[in-house]
Amino acid sequence: MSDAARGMPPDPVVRQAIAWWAKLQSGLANAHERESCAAWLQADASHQQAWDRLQVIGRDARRVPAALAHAALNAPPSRARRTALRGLLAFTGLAATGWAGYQHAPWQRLAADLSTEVGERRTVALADGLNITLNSDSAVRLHLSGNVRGIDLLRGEMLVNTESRPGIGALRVDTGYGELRAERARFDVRRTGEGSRLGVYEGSVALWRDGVWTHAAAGERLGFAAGGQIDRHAADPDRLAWVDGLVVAKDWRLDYFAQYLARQRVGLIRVDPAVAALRLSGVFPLDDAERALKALEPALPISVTRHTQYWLQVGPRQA
Amino acid sequence: MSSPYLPASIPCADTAVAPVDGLYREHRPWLFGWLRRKLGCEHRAEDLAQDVFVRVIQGRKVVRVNEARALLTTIAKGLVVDHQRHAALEYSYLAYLATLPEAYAPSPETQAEQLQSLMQLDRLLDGLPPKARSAFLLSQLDGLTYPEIARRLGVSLSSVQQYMVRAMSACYAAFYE
Repeated sequence: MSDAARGMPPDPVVRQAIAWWAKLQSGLANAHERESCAAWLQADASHQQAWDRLQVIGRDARRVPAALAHAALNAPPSRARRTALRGLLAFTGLAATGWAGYQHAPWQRLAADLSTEVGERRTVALADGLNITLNSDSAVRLHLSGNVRGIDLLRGEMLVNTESRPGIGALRVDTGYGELRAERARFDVRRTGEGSRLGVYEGSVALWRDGVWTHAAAGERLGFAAGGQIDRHAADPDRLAWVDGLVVAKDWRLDYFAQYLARQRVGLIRVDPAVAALRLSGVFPLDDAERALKALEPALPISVTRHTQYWLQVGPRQA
Repeated sequence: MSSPYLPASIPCADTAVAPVDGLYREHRPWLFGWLRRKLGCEHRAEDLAQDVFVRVIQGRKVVRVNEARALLTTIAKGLVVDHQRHAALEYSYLAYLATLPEAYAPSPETQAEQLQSLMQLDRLLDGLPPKARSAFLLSQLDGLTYPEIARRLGVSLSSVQQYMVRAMSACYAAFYE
């Protein structure tokens, strides 16, 4: 078989460089071989140049995380690839569960009773006088038996409507960073990796954390984490627009807005740092990030491009 | 008018050569329909149909009337494969991101770079036999030695050496040529 047919570069210097490269990558090269290679590199500028070009390829390749590369590239597009992808997805499920387990261990079970996919929102009547709406990518565990009503917010965000019923205890909500108690209230609670946020719109809610009760009345919002201070602000009813599939932005930074939209869809929204700090206000649809961002183009010096169905890029508008 | 071959982007009275605007009017409808059936999505079909004609213009390909359909189909098939490949890689990347605990998720900038790097690496390794691909990844990304790679892949040490030469040769050709 000729060299060309075997895919060898036609340039003999490049071929020699690759031969040296392959030898030195082996983990078996001895001092003598290393010196010989160094001598070859010094013998001619073209040798060093070819060598440097190989290094660029290796360096670029190493930007890809190994686990990702094996799962995505190891098999050609075929049955084998699909199997590899399935394998990765199975692993995904395990890893995600393992992490949730780590965060809630040891007293919580791993499975959620009710959850939403990314982009899905759902209202469910849990019991007489108790219903919740889950935002995108949220999960809860339920404790509903006899006169006990409890909800663990495992991830995401929910709006809760609860009314008092004779003989039934107050609703308890575990937010991961503190426990809420409500008799009759309309409130939303969101949980992230850093902390939780409670907004009360009707009635009142009490927060139990570090052995102390903190009360929030209608119109108030509390922000709290595992330790530290509890922040108190005014609750903004517009924050509930997601229930109707909308987002109300008031003087928001563009990157914050994009991040908000990104929670509602699968994929990436990348905002160029050059435009990230631009401010915007308005009411936008939540389920069509591309449309929402495109709607900003007349008002802001930005340009929105869709590379593929998953990937939106927001950059400065070219003059 | 000595040559019957002219760049397609130049409108031309010679009936043997199809100017792009005529080509577009005549062929876009069926091409769009064909793409829509392949992709199952109207928007993407529209985008790709557009891209096909952009390729024709950019490539300054000569399109003869009786070959137009075959040529456009060939270009469209290539674009559909590229598109599906990209979608598959993005899907892999999202699945990978989902395996990371929230606290370790890379920044959006890093994510975009990693996805780009993944697509480039995919292009460089395209067409290599699976074992040559694996050997390259195990060596360059996992830092394994050849004896370790040989054990992993169940091949001889000299095979690993050959895979590495072959993989780097393919990368070099795709990267620089």
